[in-house]
Amino acid sequence: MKFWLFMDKLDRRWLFLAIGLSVIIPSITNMRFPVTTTPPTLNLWNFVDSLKYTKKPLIIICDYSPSTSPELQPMAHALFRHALEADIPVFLYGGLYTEGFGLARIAEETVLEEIDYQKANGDSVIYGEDYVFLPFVPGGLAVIAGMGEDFIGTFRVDARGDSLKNLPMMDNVRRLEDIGLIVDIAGSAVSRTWMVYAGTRYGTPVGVGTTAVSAAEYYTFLQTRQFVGMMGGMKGAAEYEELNASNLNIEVRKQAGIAMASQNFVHLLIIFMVILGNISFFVLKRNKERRL
Amino acid sequence: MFLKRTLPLLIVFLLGLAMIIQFYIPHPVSQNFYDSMAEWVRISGAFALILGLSSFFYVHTRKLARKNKDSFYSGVAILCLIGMAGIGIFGRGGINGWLFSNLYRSIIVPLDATMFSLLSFYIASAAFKAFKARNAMAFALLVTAIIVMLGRVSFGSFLDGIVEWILVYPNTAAQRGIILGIGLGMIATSLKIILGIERSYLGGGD
Amino acid sequence: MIFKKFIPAVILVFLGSLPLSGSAVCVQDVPDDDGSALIVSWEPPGDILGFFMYKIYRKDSLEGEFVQVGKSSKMENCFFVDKDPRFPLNSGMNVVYRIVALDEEENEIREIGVSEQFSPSHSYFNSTKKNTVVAVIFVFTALITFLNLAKKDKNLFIRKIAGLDALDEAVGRATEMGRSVLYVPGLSTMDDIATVASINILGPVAKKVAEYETKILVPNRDPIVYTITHEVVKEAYLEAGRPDAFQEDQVFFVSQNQFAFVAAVNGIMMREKPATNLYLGMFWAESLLLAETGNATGAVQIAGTDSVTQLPFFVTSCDYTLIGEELYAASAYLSRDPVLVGTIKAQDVEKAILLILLVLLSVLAILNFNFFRSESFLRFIMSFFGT
Repeated sequence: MKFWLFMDKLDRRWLFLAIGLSVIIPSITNMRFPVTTTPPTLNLWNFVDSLKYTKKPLIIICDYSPSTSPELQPMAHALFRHALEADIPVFLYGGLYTEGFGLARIAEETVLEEIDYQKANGDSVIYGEDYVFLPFVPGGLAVIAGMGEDFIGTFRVDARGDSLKNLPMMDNVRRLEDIGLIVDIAGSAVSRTWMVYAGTRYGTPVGVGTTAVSAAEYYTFLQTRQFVGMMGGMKGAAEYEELNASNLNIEVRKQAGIAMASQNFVHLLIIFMVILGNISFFVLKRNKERRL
Repeated sequence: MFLKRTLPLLIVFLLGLAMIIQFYIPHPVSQNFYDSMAEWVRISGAFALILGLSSFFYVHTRKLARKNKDSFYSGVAILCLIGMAGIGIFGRGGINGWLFSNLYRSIIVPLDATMFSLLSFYIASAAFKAFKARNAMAFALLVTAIIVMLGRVSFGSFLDGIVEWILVYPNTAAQRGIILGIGLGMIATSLKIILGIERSYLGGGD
Repeated sequence: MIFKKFIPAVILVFLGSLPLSGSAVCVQDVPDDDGSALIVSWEPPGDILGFFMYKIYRKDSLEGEFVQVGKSSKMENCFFVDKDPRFPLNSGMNVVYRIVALDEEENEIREIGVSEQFSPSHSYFNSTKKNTVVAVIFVFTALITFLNLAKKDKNLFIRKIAGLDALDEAVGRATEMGRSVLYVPGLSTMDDIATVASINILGPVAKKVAEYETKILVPNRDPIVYTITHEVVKEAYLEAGRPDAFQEDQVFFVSQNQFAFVAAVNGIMMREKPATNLYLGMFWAESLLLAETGNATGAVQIAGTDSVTQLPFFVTSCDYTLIGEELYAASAYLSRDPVLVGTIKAQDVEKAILLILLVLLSVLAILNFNFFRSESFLRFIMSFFGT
């Protein structure tokens, strides 16, 4: 009975300690677990991959802040890697808010260093032909509208300060309609803004990468096909990494896959604690009824 | 009274109506009007930032002047704001420079990520508190939560089908119900503001 | 969506239902636009051997020269949408197009034809938005009808909203305990209706706080929201007859960074221990961080948001939660102004009609009622929505 009383009045700091340990232990012991793919991620992967036939560019938007970067940054890496390996022209863009620019730059540097500026087929990655890094432009919604009407005019220069119109990748890009897919990676509701303006107004397909907390909200839009696919949380990113590895034959460090071990343990811990909490609730309730 | 109440209400009414009409007119004049309105929003936003910053300095300098045990943090806040802005504007290479990039990467990114990661601790404690099978509905909630959580871990892949079903149907249905009401509420609130029925946002009652 | 308009038009050209006016190159205006786009289509040459693509040239005046405005990369693509910002089109311009076929090395090998002179024109109404006009008229009519009804019948029923009823009690508790009230107006900007709704509630709450001679703290994330909340609280103190009690640092700007803001507000909660925390407006991932910290300090907490994913967190950690549209209804509920209550009634009617339509159409779909799938009905719907 003492134990159940302790569980009922459990100081939440004990719970915090258990959570902390279940995050740290799996990550330092390098545990690995298999990852199965779910339809939203598979649909996104297939859509991105289909762009290699049309050669229409992909825009990867890092519309998130550093806070959600542990969950979302692996998505940007996996997408960028996929586009480079599949020879899909790709724009890296920090999104509508200032904070994303730095994170898009981290994605650029990490992936390029990881593959040593060379694709799996031996070709070098060429800036301006394989990918372009877009700069931050203030204006929020007005930026999407600008991209819809005049893509080059909205940015004028790339993130390195060079004129966009001189880059070979821009030959076939005049406005959003010429873009094959936009994948907005965000922890906030900004993905819905891209869906409404870029998707509905300009007809560009939109996919989304989001935190696990927000994923449930987007199933509505997956069903209506307003989003072509989704990576939901760390698991979504791990699934995308797995699809990259199995279909493109590239072996790199799977950031999300590694982090999934911690997530698995934390989820199991929470389930265990919830069950324990319920048992204590019923034991104490029965005990109280007996006394009455 | 005219400047504080009638004029703002008149501006809201006229501009609100103009923006509704503009939405339906693709004529270049209408498009230019929309573009210039968007520009004005950005310009006024920039001025508001000055007001925001003046509030920041006002609050923290007052706290510093009070010289209590928490004043130190106000000093840190002011120093960080000036320091980061100064390095970005005057530092070598500006925001692309080594110092700014590293401050961003090594301080802001981990600090922000730490704040967000607190969420996992709080979610665990909230789940522990909330998921008690007090009645039939709470039991249904508990079972659903466990299925979805198990479905999101590697060993739970056998539950993928049911997890997808829960997320695609019951979850979507419930969300749509709320979103529908929210959508109508938004339209009604916007119309109330345009028509001047709702004016509490101007301060005071009437 | 511009392509929805182009493709059917181009198909019509190929079907021969539109006259090609004697020229092999036909130019058409894009409907419902500002006159900045044209569709050029042409007949493919009879003998296509050796042809690989087309170049599209345009001349903007009779005296001018032809300038290349685009390229059609496939032999089968015999149409081109001219809407390139580098070569802008305006209504009133007189343009002529010339199409040239190219070989594999992009050498010009044959001229397909030159179009007749054409002038793009702008529209005064975007017919693809007819559906929203109907919706706006419907909403306006319901609103005006119920405003008039509300003026006649002052006692329109509005159901009890526990969270709003508790506001008085929550402010009273802070007064009794001699502690402050913390009001977070969400983390979004003024173009979010949830923020506007929150500010509508802030007025009456601040007035009550001023009357009770308690302190209210309003931290802000957005500078525009800050300027407005500052004015609203100041006005409320003035209205309560206590302008002297208002302190400038009660309403303040914190940071635009989401989690820096949360860290600051959580710090305030831990140090000042407000007796009442009100979180009303738009919230994202920070909702649980705020609510759980408030819960740990033992404050009475009332939340309200239209952010569907954050509602479960608030429900778990707060004493009362306003769900979705209850937040918008708050100002009418608190003021009991018959005109405002009338608008809520209008909303109810709109919702009821939508629900009836949804249920009716779903039942008909389940029963496989074929009228809705018939070609004539679909054509009617497609023409109505401009697709």
